[in-house]
Amino acid sequence: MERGLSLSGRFRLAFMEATVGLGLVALAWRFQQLQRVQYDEHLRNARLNTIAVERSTAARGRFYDARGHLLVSNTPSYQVWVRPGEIEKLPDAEKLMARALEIPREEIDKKIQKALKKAPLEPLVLARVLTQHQLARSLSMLRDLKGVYVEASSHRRYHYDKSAAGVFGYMGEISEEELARRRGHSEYTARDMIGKTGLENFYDSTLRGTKGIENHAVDALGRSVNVTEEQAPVAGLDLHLTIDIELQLLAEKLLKEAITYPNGGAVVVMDPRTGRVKALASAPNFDPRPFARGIGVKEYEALMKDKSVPLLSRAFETSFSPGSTFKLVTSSAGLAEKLCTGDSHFYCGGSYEGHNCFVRSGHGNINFEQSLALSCDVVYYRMADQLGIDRLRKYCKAYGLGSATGIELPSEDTGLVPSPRYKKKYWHDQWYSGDNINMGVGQGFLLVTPLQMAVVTSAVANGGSVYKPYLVEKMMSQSGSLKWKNRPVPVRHLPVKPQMLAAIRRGMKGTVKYGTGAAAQIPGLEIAGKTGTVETNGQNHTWFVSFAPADKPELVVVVFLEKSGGFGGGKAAPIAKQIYMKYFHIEEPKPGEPSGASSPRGSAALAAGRAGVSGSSRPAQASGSSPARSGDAGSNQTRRAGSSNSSKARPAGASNSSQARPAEGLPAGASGSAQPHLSGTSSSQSAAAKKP
Amino acid sequence: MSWGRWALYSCALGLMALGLIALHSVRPDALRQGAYGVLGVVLMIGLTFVHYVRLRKIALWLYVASVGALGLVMLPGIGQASRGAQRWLSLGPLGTFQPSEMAKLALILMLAVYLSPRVSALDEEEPRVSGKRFLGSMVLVGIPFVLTAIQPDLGSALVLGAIWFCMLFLAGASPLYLGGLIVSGLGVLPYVLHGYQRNRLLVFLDPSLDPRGLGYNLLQARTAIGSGGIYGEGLGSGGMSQHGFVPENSTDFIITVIGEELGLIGCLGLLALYAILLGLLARICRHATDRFGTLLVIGTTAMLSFQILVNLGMNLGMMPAVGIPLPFISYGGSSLLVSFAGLGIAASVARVARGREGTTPIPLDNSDWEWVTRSQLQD
Repeated sequence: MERGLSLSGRFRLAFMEATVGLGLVALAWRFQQLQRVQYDEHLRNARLNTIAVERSTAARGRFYDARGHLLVSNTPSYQVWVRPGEIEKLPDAEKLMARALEIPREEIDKKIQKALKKAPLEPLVLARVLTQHQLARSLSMLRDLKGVYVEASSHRRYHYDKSAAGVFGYMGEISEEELARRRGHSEYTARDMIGKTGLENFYDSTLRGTKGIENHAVDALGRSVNVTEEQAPVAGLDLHLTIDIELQLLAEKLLKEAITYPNGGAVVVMDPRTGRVKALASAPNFDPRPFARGIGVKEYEALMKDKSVPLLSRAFETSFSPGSTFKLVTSSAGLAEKLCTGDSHFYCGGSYEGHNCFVRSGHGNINFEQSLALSCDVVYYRMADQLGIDRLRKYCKAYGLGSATGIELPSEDTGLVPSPRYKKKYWHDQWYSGDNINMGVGQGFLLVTPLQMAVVTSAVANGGSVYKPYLVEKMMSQSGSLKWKNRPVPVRHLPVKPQMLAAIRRGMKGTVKYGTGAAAQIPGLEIAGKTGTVETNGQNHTWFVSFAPADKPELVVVVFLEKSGGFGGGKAAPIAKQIYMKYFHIEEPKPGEPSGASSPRGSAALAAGRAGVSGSSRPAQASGSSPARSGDAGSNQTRRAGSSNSSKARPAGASNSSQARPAEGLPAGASGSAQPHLSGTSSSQSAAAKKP
Repeated sequence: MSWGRWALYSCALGLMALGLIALHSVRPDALRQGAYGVLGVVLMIGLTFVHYVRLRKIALWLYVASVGALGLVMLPGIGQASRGAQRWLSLGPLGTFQPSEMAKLALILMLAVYLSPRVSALDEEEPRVSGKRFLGSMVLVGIPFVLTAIQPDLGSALVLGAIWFCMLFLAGASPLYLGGLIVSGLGVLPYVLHGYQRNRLLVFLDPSLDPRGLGYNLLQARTAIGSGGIYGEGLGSGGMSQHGFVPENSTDFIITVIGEELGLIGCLGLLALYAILLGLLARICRHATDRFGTLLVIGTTAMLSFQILVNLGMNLGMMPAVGIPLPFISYGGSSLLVSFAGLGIAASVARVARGREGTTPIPLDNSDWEWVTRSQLQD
């Protein structure tokens, strides 16, 4: 080349060209890396930037009781929440908020400062449910504050106030841990309310429905430019519960009257044919309403410190020694393992191996039925001793003790069925035959929940099927279409023959007819039951497990009173009686009236709800069948009481024991509830004497 | 090589069109830039037909004027401040004018004159750049460099430095000098950088250091470009470009608009246009008939290449954040006019070289322009 650059110049130019060329290639490579290889990642980030996804909370599913009474629904409300990081001129804003919401400024400041340190842009709710006054002030005072939002929302409304609160559970704002556990689950976002306990918790995802999704295209300042609704909110399903609110209310009322602070009690009402729970009451109860509006720290702490632990349901979240009600299990084991039969006779001399019968003088000669009816301890000491822990455990397990019943409640107590290994581990001691003996009468390490006892009683009542108790009958969409229906099937069958369970039922009938549970007697309805009295470090726990009608069981009632003192028959049985009377529409005979004239209540509304139960036919049926039953049981003495044609049986052996009382049940129960037709025991005679 | 000139024009027009499309997508006043574009094209074609050697005469004046303007910018009341830097001169109703852009062109001319003391044919023994002249050129670049750097406009200052470096390199300065200078420059860099500039360097090394502040722009730029994918979101549909998620996206960060809305195809198209343009300039440089022309073209090429590489490199996260416009694309009249002017001068060099094709270069005496076509000479 004769002109142009010199050789050296051309070399230098080529060098520069190569440098720039390489630079351009590097840029091209980088472009394809960003736009092709990392496209998805960058697109996602861009969407996070430019699209604000707003989720609107769907209406939460409601609770109805078995007859269609609305129990829990929602009510609209307004809330104030902030994004602490967005607030400008914080002290001024805090002053305004404090004035609008009438919350001390220091409290607001504390919350905001804490949030600022942790997550300044996460929403922080300052007031969950505004009063009219707060709302009016907030709307006028907080409207122009950046980062402060007044928003319409809704909260739970409880139509029966505190009733069944332990079953429903309470609501609360989702915690960081709960949110973290549900990361990736689009239905849970910050600021959400979530069921913390009970059904609210167990069915939370069903109840909360599906959130609506709105895509807001936003600009860099967060202003919404364009909104597209991607998905409309779908309301959560309504739960139609098995609970009968009238029974529940009655049970709670009776419990409230029976308990003394700080002790409580529980009532479980269940259908033995299905496991349908008709009432699950615990006292004392907590109020779920403060939780719905956002409970204050002080309020919550007070609740936590309350010695009566109202937050724990005594029906399923706490377990206790079952006392003599456990004899249902011990006797099942004894019969099934052929240690005795329903016709066996025993002799109670007042003690066994140094363990005293609660009737110190002993029951004398008694048969199997009487051993249950009179709650003889010696019989079951011996039976348990002969069975041994392994066989006892087998029948406990068969009845479902020691494990959760499977009811749809999240924090069910499993209770405790002890074993030698358990004793070794926690008590550093070996298993003695005394432990068997204790366990045979429901004392010692054994712990059960009232709900578990309801399952046990149901299994005895229905002839050996162990049902899972349940609370939700069906789920309906808010538009009223059926989405799910419970089909109860027994989870297990007892390894106990039907005629053996029939013998136990005879014993339970005897309990009410002439035994320790006579306080539960209702003219015209035969009830089968078993009392329990548990010695504790303080006053006695008292139990009464029962079902009715005795020959065609359709209701199981378990009553438990914590440290109530007295005896199962005296304290717990009358409560069960009230519930049966309510359920079977039997009115308390007024003094002066013949006791047999118990009239079924003719409430049309209630009768309509239970077409199958005719108030007039059932008591007649039940009472008609009782003489035959009494005969089966081998009673040697019958007496008429009033104009009732039901006969009362009382074995001779029992009279011995009755003189030696204070014994389980009878004295208090009989005198307390004015049973007109009880015979045999001295105390019941005194009660009968009040009758004309 | 008439086709080369036409190709040069086409590339410039294509780039400007792409730039206007991108600007139109994010700025309502893209038309104003279009007006500057028309002015720029007129300037480019006009300069093509002015013999570049005539520019020797105005080089010094232009240089002095630029330095003066840079000085004026610093005066309060005259200079227009924006985001903490005094960069603009008010031209009354004509809008504003950025002296640092003019300084780039002035420096190219001034250095070309200074490094080719006489118009000479290239087949002469190539005069090495003496140490004295090397220092002299350093003074020439140093004055506008310092004046822009204290505005502060580090980007423009670096462009001036790059122009000087490339021209000196091609003019035959010792690589030893140049290399030594770079090393010592890097050595003193930490001491002369403003705090924010130091931070920019740190943030470049790790943008997540400050995702809401300095690193924000860089991360957002990368996200916007990457979210365009291969085909882009479509003009006017880039969520990040349209709603202000990438600050400065009509000036230094305009590639994010092209990246998000036109995708990889748009970006590679842009790179291809630049590659062709720079290739054409290098070809003109290689075929220039004298040292002065060669230096003019390499100065222009250096200016454009440096701006392209640094601007895109910054946007793609390959370089620290420095405010440098993307030639022909970024919003800004001064930058556009200067780029077109540079191309016009290069086209003039090409035109002259083509006019002399097939003839032997005429040996020339000092500042004798007789070989120039007579019709083009006035005096």
